[in-house]
Amino acid sequence: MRLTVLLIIAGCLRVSAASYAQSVSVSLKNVPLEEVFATVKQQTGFLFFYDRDMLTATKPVTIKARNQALTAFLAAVFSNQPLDYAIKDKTIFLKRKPVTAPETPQQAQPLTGTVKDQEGQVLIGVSIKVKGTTKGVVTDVNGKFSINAGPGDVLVLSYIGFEPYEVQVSNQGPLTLVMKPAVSALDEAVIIGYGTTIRRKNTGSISTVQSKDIADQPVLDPLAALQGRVSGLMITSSNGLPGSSFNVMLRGRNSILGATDPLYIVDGVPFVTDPLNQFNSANGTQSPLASISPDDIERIDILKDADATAIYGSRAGNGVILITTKKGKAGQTRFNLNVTSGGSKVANLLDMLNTQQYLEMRREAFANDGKTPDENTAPDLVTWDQNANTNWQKMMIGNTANFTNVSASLSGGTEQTRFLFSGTYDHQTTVMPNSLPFRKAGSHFSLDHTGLGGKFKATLSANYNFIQDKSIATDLTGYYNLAPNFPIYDSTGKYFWFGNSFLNPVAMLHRTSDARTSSLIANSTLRYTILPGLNAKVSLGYTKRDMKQVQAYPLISQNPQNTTGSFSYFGNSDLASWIVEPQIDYTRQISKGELQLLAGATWQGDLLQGERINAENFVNDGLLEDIKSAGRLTPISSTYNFYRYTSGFGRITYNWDGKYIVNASFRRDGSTRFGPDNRFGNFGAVGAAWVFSEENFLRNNQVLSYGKLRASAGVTGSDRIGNYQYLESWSSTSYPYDGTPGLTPARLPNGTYRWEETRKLEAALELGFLQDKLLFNTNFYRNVSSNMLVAFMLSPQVGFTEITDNFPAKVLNTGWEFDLTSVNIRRKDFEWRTMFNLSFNRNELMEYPGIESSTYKDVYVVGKSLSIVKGFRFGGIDPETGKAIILAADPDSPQDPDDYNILGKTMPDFFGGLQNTFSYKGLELDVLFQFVKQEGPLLNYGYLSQAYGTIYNKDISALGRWRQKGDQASVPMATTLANNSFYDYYRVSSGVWGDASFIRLKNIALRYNLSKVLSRYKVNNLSVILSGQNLLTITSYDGFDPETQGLRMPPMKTITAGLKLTL
Amino acid sequence: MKNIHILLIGVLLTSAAACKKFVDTPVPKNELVSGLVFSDDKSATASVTGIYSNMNAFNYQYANILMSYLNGMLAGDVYYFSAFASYDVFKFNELLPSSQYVETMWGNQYGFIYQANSCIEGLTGAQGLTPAVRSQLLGEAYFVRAFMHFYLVNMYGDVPLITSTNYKVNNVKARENTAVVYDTIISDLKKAESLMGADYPTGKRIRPNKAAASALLARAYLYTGKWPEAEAAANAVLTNGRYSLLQDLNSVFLADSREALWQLQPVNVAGGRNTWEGFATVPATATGTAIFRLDSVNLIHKFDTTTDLRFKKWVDNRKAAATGNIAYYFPYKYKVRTSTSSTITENSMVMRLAEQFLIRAEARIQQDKLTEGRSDLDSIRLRAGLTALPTSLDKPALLLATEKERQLELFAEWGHRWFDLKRTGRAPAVLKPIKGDKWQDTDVLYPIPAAARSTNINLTQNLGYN
Repeated sequence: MRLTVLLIIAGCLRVSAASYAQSVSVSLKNVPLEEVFATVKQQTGFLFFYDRDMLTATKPVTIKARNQALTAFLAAVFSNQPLDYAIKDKTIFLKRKPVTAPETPQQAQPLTGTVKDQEGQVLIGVSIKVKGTTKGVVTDVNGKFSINAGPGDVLVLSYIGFEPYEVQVSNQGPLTLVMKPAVSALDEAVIIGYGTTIRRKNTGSISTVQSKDIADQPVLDPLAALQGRVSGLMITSSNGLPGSSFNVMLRGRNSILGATDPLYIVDGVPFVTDPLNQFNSANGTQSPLASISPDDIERIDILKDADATAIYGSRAGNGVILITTKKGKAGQTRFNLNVTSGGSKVANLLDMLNTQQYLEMRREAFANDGKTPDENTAPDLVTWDQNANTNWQKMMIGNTANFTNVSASLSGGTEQTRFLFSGTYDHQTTVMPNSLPFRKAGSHFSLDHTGLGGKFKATLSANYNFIQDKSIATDLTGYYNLAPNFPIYDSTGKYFWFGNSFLNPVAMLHRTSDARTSSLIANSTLRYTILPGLNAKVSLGYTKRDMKQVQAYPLISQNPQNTTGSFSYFGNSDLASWIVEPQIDYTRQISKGELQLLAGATWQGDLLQGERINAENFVNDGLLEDIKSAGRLTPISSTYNFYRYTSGFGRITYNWDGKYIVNASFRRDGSTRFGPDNRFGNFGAVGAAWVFSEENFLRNNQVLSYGKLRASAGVTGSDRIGNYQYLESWSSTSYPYDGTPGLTPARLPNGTYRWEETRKLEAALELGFLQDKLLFNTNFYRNVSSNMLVAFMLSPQVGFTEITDNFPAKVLNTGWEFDLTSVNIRRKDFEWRTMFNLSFNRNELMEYPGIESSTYKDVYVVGKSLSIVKGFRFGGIDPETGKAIILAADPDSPQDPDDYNILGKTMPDFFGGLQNTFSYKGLELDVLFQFVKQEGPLLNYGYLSQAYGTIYNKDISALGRWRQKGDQASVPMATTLANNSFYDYYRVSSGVWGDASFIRLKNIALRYNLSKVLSRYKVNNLSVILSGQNLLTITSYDGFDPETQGLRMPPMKTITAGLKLTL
Repeated sequence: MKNIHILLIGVLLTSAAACKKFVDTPVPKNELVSGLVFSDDKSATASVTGIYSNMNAFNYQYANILMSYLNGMLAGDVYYFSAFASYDVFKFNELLPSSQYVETMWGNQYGFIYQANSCIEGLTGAQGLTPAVRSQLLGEAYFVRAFMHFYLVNMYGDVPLITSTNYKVNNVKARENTAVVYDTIISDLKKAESLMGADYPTGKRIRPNKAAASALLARAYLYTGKWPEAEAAANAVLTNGRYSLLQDLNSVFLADSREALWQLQPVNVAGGRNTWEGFATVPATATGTAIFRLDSVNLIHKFDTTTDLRFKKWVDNRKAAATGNIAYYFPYKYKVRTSTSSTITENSMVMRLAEQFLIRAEARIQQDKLTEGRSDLDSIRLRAGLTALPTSLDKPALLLATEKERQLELFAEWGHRWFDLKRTGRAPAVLKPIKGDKWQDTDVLYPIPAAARSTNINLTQNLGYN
């Protein structure tokens, strides 16, 4: 492993010396100590090993010696210096002399004290110095210190994440010193891969979202709370139903295969995000991250560039999202209680034709086609009630959903042992007619222990969640276009059915879906400090998630015309994942710089197993959810995915005086997703930063308080291709033949594909103005992905439609990101802060050798985004015929419907968020706007779109249809012909493609802190919170919602009220 | 310091050594590597029967609805009761390259060809199989490959000829001349004929045997105008004592009927279903609707409805509630929609003996052996309760009589009528009056699917679809 080399280099930092004399002859007068050292080294070959800071308090030396033994010489030199020494081999180690004799009478007693934060919790490892001297100590595990200082001296305290603090000593103590958290965001801690740093020193590109912004939103999924808050991160809801998944894309789409999910790490352990569903429910597949309660999250750090992500190697191509859960804090035991409750409605419903308008369109369609409606072709005109007017949207998705969240936590402990225990409960219903509750109950436990005088530290955390989604099998949004006079019941009061292609949506409500998911995430970290600066650490993680699904289809919900009786589906999946990661880190001061080394290894194993069984011939429909009551069971599928992953990794960081910082990381990964010869890959990155505001010429500049230039370059990868794609094997057919299951080839195997690579480049400028009240970051990145792993489309004559293979195509993602954080006004009682982010991404297929002759020739275009959508060019409605005019790709050549053009692309041009926070005394108002500039398929786009005039209702765009010769219409004429080439072309043409940009009031939260009012009671904090989600959307999009698009449940508008209590 | 480095290096070396082994994964428990599939009789057999299971697992996948009813729609015999875009293109002969089932039938048949080729390659070098089993299975694989190519070439015209699993070669193959495709079909069938046994491997007629290969060979010769060969091949089947025409028409489509050369066993029998054909056509209730119906003008009126037993036994109707008049007819060859019994009584017929009489009849008439040919036709007619044909009929009249007999005997089975009209060149004459303006003479071929052409630039389109 190449890591070894890296560490051997590190090892060579030790200095070796040749053999020299052991006596010294000198004559020096008033020279600095270092000059003495130089002489000694020159004459004897002995080296001095020391921290430069030690020398600041030393006195100049005057000494004469002639062939004096080295030991005697050193004794003389150090006799009146504050330093002591020890000789080992050829090295002389210097250390500070223990301060013994009271040099000044008034400091006879050392000054003692404790350092705490504002919440009264002790701070360990705070560095304390007496100003103007070299005297310095560090607080112990109890936050206590003891230093030789007296009244009048000024103590200087510094600690990561806190504001530097100076205090003049007025008495002999013991003192209690309170440090404030760093106001400058630059001194806040940042979580990085396998470590932490502070923003000021960071060489990578990382955004952070804190618990306050996550937990106060009425959302079930932590991903929902990130929308609009992070530059470069585009999160799109797939469906408005609770528990549905999100599409996450960081800095564009790297891969032709399309998987854009980043790597998720929860408390240091990778979180496997494979969905567990054996079959879909109304909300699609359940979001795996919904298993982590937003209330339990302390912070989320988003790692973007090569420098930040390359330590995660092969899986970091799409970026890394680090989720850190809450930990206990030392001090008084605290009890927190949050209760939130509210309601949701669908954000937008469509305007459809009413019955009269609909029937008029239908009659017109028959007239246009020269056909006569009859009971088979037009029951809506012939047999159904001509006055019935059902608003299907209102009925199916127009109800109010309830939202309730209760969470409570207990935390506290001593400096040695801290704990946190919390529980949450969520209850949410849907906007569909039945109550269909989505319940989630979870608990989170965290324990920290520090022992052996601070040398040993153990962290343990466990997170258990249970989700029950009692839903139905299908999203009912798709029934929006049922004919408004479609009868729900027949004359006998039973459900009405027509033919065998129509379903009765009210009958569908009898179909139940029950999905129960439980998830356990347990991890622990054990750390031991072997020597000061050298820590050995091991992270252990275990995750288990399982899902049990039952969907029941009783007879009453089925069309008698094609039913074979009632049936149910049973699905089971479970995923177990474990990981062991030993690590060693080492920090040491070399000259004015700090060197940090990290090395580690990973072993990870996952196993996903599951099966799906269809059951029928039940004794009674009341027993549909009991598998034993089925007369026939048919196993439909079995899942078996075994995945193992191993790596070695390392990182070197060198920080010279807080000005120049270099960071290099490396990782070698092996994954079972590749064929035996291609399992390993190497990844790595180099990053550098120059904090130019630390340079003399800018120090103390009144306007510019902080400035950093940084850049990074590196290679990350992707193995997101599913398992076993290299394996030539056979699997059993769904149904046995002649008594035994048949076999069928499992896939078209390919044993030779290799890792996909993403080369990332980034340059950034970080600026802080006016004591960092205004922070402005600009990032530029350019990522090129190559060696594309694609499901290579094959011509169906091969017998398979695809094969997994590398393709020498290159995909470019380049973009700019701007982040602005500003404290606009800070007064005693009033504060106004603004956060703004804006991201531009350009996605381009740079190269695709031989695309013209490839299977992707109609899908991608070199030089264009991967997300392009092709279709026909719509040239308006022909006033003569009422048909859509399809233009040729080349306007000069005659009409050719085979001409497919680029309609547009689905990836946004830019997106971002604007958050303003106003606080006045105890009142705080947060307003977050999200904006996206994009285009997309409009309501009537796609092969599911029905022509105007068929037996489906249309939106009010139908009012602009062509009716007679000479009409300047906006949409084609009505026709009953389901398959008519003009509507077929129209529905995938530029006529139904357009702007899908939106500005959305994502979240508005008003908090009122009543603590002051209640100060006489034993209440630490009591706040009331009013919050609204998606309250307002500004868009010109004509479908349900510009975010989810298509015919699926749009996002909800939610209003909640909550109470927060701390005892 | 020294110790630290030793420790670090130690940790890393250990991990490096452990890594390689760590990522050697075992085969998933729900898959069998190819080497093992052909190492014993049972799994090797499963590799072939897997094809039959997949052919008939779903109603819109391959056999049953798609091959029998949609091709029947193209010929004007069958229609779907309501407007439905995916079927209407068949009803009106307005197939588009992007039409759903145009793509499904293409892709699925090539999928079966891939599996047949995998079996041929696996079985050819297989050790440890019982020789008779290996020979039978290899024969079945050649048979399936020929069967699929036969339907492809008749539906789509010139088609890529796929005889290996090498996807790199197959992915860019152009369309092969129909005559060359037939050469391979015939040579595959000859191999199948010599490799397969005369007995059905498990006694049930649900896997092809030697006679099934001869029967398909007879059909292939007939379609290519090789009359003597067609006659000989059909004769081989007709003289095989294992098969006979059943006098009771209600028994013809039962499982293992003596008329069956090859049947598909229903596999997806949820809800007591037997065949997909029966499930799709037999109405659920006495007043229920039949979804696939028979055209009264183009088909029903051609029956002698007073005597023809095929009309009486293989066709049923629904009466209009208001008038009591016959509202529509539907195929009733299969009589079971769902059954409360767990025993499957009907199998899906793929090839049966009656067709062999009709093949021999046509081959003989074409060779001017009019008397023998007429007697073959009469075998079918007499079984159907009709009288023998007049001896006065000349060759053209007898050929027309053959065409009609084929239509009435084989309606709603595997697209026979559609392929007959196409191969005899009679499609324009017969279908133009039925289909009206919708008919173009180029409609005799399916379009090459858009998905196939967009992934292989070497594929040309059929005339009339550009």
